[in-house]
Amino acid sequence: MSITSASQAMLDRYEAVRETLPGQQIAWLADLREAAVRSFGETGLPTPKVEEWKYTNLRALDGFDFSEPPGDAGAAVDLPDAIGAGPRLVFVDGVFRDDLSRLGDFDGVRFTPLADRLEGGADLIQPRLGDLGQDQPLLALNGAFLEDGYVAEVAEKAEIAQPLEIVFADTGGDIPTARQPRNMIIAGAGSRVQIIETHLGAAPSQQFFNGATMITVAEGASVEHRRVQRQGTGSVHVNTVRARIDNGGIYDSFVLQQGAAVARDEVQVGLTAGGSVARLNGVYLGDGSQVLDNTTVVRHATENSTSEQLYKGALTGSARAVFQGNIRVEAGADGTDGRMTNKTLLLSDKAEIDTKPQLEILADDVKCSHGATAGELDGDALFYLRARGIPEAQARGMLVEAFLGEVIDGVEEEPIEPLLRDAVGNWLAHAQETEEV
Amino acid sequence: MSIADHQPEEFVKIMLEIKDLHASVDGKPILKGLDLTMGPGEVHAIMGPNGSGKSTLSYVIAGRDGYEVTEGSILFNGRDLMEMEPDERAGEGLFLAFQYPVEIPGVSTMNFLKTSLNAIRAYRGEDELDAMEFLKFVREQTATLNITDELLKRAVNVGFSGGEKKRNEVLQMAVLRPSLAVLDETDSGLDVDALKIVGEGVTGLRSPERSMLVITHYQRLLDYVIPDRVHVLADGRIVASGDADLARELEEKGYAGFSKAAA
Ligand SMILES: Nc1ncnc2c1ncn2[C@@H]1O[C@H](COP(=O)(O)OP(=O)(O)O)[C@@H](O)[C@H]1O
Ligand SMILES: [Mg+2]
Repeated sequence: MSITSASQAMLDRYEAVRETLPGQQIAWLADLREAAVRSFGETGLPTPKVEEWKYTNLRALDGFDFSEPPGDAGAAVDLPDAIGAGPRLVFVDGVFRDDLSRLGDFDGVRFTPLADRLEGGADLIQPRLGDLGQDQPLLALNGAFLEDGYVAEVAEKAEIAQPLEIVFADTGGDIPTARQPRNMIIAGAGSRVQIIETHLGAAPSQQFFNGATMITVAEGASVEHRRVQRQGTGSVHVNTVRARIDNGGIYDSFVLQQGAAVARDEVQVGLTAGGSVARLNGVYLGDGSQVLDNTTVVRHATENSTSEQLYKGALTGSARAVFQGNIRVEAGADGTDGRMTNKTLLLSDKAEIDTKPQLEILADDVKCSHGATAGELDGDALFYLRARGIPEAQARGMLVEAFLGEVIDGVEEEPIEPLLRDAVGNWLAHAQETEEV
Repeated sequence: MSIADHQPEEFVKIMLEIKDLHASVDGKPILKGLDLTMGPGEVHAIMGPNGSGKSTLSYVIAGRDGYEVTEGSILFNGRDLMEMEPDERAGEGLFLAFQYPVEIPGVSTMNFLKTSLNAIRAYRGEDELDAMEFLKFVREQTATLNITDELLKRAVNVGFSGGEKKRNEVLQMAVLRPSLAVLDETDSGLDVDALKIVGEGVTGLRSPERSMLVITHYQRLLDYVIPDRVHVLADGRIVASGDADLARELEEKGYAGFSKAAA
């Protein structure tokens, strides 16, 4: 079987940089990388022939020339203000930047770059990397490079008041690069933490981001994971999150997908014990010819676990969104409650949504539902607002904001809420300037 | 700050002048040569059987898409209404109380009222009200309409009872203070108590600067808001006009005789 040219370029690059990858002197890590690269080499990057990638094509990567070495690692960058008052790790062009980060002692949490944890990481890090995702080409690719990312290790019962922030920024040099950070969130029993990831890029340089985050939520712990995806418009962004949730644990995910030419945010959740909860929510804002994909795979493995999903988006231009939601309820997982909703506003004739909600139910006593809608703004509501003196553009804006507000209300009073409301407002204003919205 | 009733720029004796109005929906003629003239401060009632075109008239006046005027004209304070967008018409002082108020999930009633009032003030070159001024002003209006703060927090018309929706329409009229209000069956679907609140609310808004076109099936709202003129609409035309007694006569005898006259 032949692989795509971008896949071959990835393999070639691996050969070239292998010895310089973080922790390569550690034997178990070098072995892990070798296994991962072999696995990736067998399939290469997925094409639309693969069922899970039917709607999102990564062929844009074939036009990226990855042959040149990446540029200056100390480049200047405009960073957004911190969202909270907690620690912040900043990675610029794939490199951890001590000078731009806010470290320091925060009670109950070790929050560091992954590279700092590899030495002596055989106990904590190795078991959390070993078996994960070799069967998925993008995770395997990420595992081959396994570049620096963040590790948030939260102690048992620790309640972290301030969000832990991470910024992944591209400075947008002319040289196409690939970034493959590996992250970990390890929440000890009964702990609470919020993580905010921001992905930024300068338009329109060609960057390939292929991140992976492994999450374990121990008994009774709560992890809120916020992702703001605003990569540059020339980029391809794939972010895979795998979370395992123990009994009484809560994994609460929210993603804003706004940037990149082609983007996929994929959340894979294993609800492995009773009382475990996953809440997966997202907003997507697409314009131009963007493709924004949200994929979720939720596995209810034992009795009495709950999952709720709400993804809503607005599209203009000839943007296309994809929602693939899969809920699998294993045999014996009675008492499962799984719900999934996807709603899209199509603000132009050429905008499109491919939505594929799937339920696979092998247990008897479950409550599962899914729903998907797509359509234009409600003409009656628009007329009602205009009849009350509100000009058309403003009225449309109100309706779009109200539509998306249903999801954003889920993060009400969190540090990230104003950013999300502004994102919607600014996106709309821009869309109204440039397109018929 | 003052929130005065909206005054037309110059004194005009005719507030609304509809001449030979023909309008179609989906290519189907509904209004077929309708004439109506109203002076400032006048209250006119329009009565007519279901399907005679009453709501169509109200939508044409308000400028709804899909209601195509094929002939005739509508002048509002001497200006051609057909040239204006729906929001401009509201800015000029026109208000339509909807027969079926629309639900707007995700927009609170309070925010809706405030955005509307400020949009209309902006249209007229007036400053926006700040949050405190607005709250005080709205509270003055809600008291008489028996509308709670809780209702103002809820999304516009979502989960409202029929009576709450109609009272909400009257509240909007009280807040926006139009010079011409078209009330499309604001009394239908109300019980006696709700009718009293709505009837008194509308009566309280009667003023020499405000004309009202009251579309209704029943005499009962007109017991509160005594009309200067009553018109019978049948098959897209005004087929009879008279004073308040005509409404009572219709209540007794029905429209049968008038519909024939239209044919
Ligand atoms: N959106 C529409 N599409 C097609 N026909 C319509 C529409 N609205 C109204 N009509 C038709 O126009 C006629 C007048 O309706 P309407 O103005 O609602 O009457 P009324 O308010 O007097 O009951 C009716 O025959 C109705 O079926
Ligand atoms: Mg009607």
